[in-house]
Amino acid sequence: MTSETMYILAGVLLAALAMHRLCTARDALARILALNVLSVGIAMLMLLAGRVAGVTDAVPQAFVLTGIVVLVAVTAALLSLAERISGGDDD
Amino acid sequence: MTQLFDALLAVGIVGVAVAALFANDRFAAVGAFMVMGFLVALSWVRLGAPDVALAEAAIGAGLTGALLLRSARRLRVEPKMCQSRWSVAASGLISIGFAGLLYAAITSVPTVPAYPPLVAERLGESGVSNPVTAVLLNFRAWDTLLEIAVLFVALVLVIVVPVSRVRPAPLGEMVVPFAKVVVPLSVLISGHLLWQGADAPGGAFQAGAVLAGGGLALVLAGAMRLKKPLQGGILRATALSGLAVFGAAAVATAALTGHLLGYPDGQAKIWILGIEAVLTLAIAATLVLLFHGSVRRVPK
Amino acid sequence: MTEAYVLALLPFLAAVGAAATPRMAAIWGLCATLINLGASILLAARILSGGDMRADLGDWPAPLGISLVADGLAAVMLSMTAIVATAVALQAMSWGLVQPRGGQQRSRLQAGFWPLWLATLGALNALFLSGDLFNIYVTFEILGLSAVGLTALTGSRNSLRAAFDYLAAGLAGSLVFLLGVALAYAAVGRVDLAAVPALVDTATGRLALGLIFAGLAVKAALFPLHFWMPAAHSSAAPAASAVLSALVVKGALYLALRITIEAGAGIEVLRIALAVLGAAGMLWGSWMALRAERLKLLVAYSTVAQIGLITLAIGVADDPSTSAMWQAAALLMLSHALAKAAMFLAVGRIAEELGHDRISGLNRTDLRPGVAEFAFAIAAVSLIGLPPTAGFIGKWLLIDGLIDRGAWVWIALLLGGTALSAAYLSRVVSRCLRGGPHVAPGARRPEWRTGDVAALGLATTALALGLGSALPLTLLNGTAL
Repeated sequence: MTSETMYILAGVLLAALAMHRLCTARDALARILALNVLSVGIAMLMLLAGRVAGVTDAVPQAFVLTGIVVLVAVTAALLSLAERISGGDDD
Repeated sequence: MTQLFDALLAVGIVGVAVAALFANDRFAAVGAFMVMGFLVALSWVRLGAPDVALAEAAIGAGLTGALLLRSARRLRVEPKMCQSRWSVAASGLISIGFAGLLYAAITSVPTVPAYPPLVAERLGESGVSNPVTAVLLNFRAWDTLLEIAVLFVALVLVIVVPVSRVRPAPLGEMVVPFAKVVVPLSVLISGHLLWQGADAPGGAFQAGAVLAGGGLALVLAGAMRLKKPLQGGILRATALSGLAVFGAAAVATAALTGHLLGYPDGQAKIWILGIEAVLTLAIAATLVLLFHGSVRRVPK
Repeated sequence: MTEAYVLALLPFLAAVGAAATPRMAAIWGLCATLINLGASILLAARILSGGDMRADLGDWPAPLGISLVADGLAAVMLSMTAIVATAVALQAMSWGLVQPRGGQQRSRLQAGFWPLWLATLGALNALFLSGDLFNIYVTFEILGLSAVGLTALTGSRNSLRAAFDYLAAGLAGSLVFLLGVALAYAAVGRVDLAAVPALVDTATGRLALGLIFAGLAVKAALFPLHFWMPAAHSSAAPAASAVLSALVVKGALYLALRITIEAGAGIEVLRIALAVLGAAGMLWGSWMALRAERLKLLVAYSTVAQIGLITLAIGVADDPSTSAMWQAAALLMLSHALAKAAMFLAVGRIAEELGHDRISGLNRTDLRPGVAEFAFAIAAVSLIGLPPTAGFIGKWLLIDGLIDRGAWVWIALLLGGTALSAAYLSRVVSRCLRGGPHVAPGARRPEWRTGDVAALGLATTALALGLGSALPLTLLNGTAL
């Protein structure tokens, strides 16, 4: 088993476990965590798909970087909505 | 030997991911998620992708973790719904099947990426020598502009749906000396990352995230009071400047060269560094505001 | 391509302007919307006279760079968006957004509306013009976030809950889409739209297409993945509901249509799945609309049904290189956008006059039917697909193609769906438009508002489009396949 295969396996497992959790969890925080783990799994697969002869393609690296930034933005939005639903009777 | 290290790392990643997904205690779950982020970043260094490794460590693990920790305390724990075992089992089976399918799909085709020769051929014209920066700010700068738009929309959303403010008080005493070290350090590191991003791993996003880390230290230490309209206003203007300047630069390039985001010949490096410098500050400001919640401006 | 650059960039710049200067937000919004309308008309005219256009951003050719592609289909979608955008902007100008709840609250909500709405417009334009799958993923994220912001604007607990479910479902959909893009990259090594035909050849590529469509199905609220949608569309403010229902779901439907056109004949299984789910959604949405007790919910479920119809049209269309049946789907999207936006705006006005939106309470004796009721009725005619509306032309093209193939099952389903839509819409129309003895002699007439003009304008455009459907059809015919 090469190193790449092991990381592909890790990425696949991350994505599948996160999907499972997403389908079964009710708790808002657990769902948000699952979405974040799913995204890391996808990023892992994207990087490995672009790995040929020991070099990782720069374009999927840029995709992954974009994905990370997009995800932190959406996570912040999700958390602020969740907090308002959970507590916010302030207005 | 390295293979053993990779194997351990891959197992470790999956292990902490399981903890992050299935731990009963919220803080343990978020902690595991952050550890997973750092391990994944390590694995990406091993895979020769230090730029994304830096971003994952700073943003994916660090800032997302901070956000999750902020909310873990505030969110009400939903009463556990009695889920039927059958539906959990069905979901589990489907996920296993999905994993098998995905693994087979990824490994069955030998990928021949179309990009590496194109990137190699055109890197010389791009103005920078770090290929990832070249893709992000030149070859596919439109993606990056839209990504800044995502940050902008998230910021507007958090302003419209405000969260309660982060209260610095409980940590104040301890945090102040900590902030005294961290803040200047974050400014230095961020400047270094921004500057070296042209030729070596780094760039606006990593630099912005590090700077945002420093900003959060200031907020937690109570030194930056976003309640004050002036400080909040400056921060907000800085955050908005990212999309404004990037968009204006796109218009300017279209006027100068006829191609949207096509930099004038020979000046690509100056344009890229200029845009990146603004983006670094804007990203840092946006991330601090996303963490801190909105700065409610009281209309007169 | 100057027009295309304007369409893709201007809304974002105006959004920043509106966010930076909240007091001027409405002015930014109106100016940008009008320029956007002008640019989309100019672009359509250029395409009509000169054919498709394409611009490599930064002068880096695809697949490394990103191309903007402006063809007939894109032009139809862009014009549709621009027309609805103008009406929505008018409505939002005149009416404010939400029931007044004290000055500060109101001004914050209004200040929030314009940046979010302009970002939605920019994301839609960028999506329709984009020629690259990863770029489209990013536009979806903008679209999803800004649409959620629009849902949450009213700040009520229901709308916040709906917004959270919307965002969580939308993010799950985009991540599935992104996983599809990753697999597409693994299969063919590139992610521009021109690579789609090659995806059909390998198992990995087909799985990639399947995941991409699964993600799109969530985003488009295709049955049975529509669970997040009725709550979101019915709890938002009227101007926001109009945008969500008429335009935002069209983003995903447009991409589904675009990919089936690009992929050609090789995705038969996927097409059948789309057609079956579409038919199921059409029936389910109609059934729920028949049972809905609130007007906004009825209109929201009618969107589920109409999305089903459009998906059915995408699914049953033959290989686009030999048949023009795919044009029916584009025309149905166009007519649904106009009619549904008109309908949500009209419902907003009706609810405002009545003070509630219960369907059982629409029978009233002290209020004469007004412009909003009239606009609702015209929009209903277009949604049902009676001549001479655009909805009719779309359904006609579809049924005509199906008759040629002898696909009687699909025809029966289509006609059944049409009958159901007539049934649920007449629940409203029959109550709204009663005059004569049902109205008391001294009944008052609702006042005219700019919002009425917007709703009526859109509804009549949907009507007139049937008579002038040659124009969109010429544009679509020119689309290179």
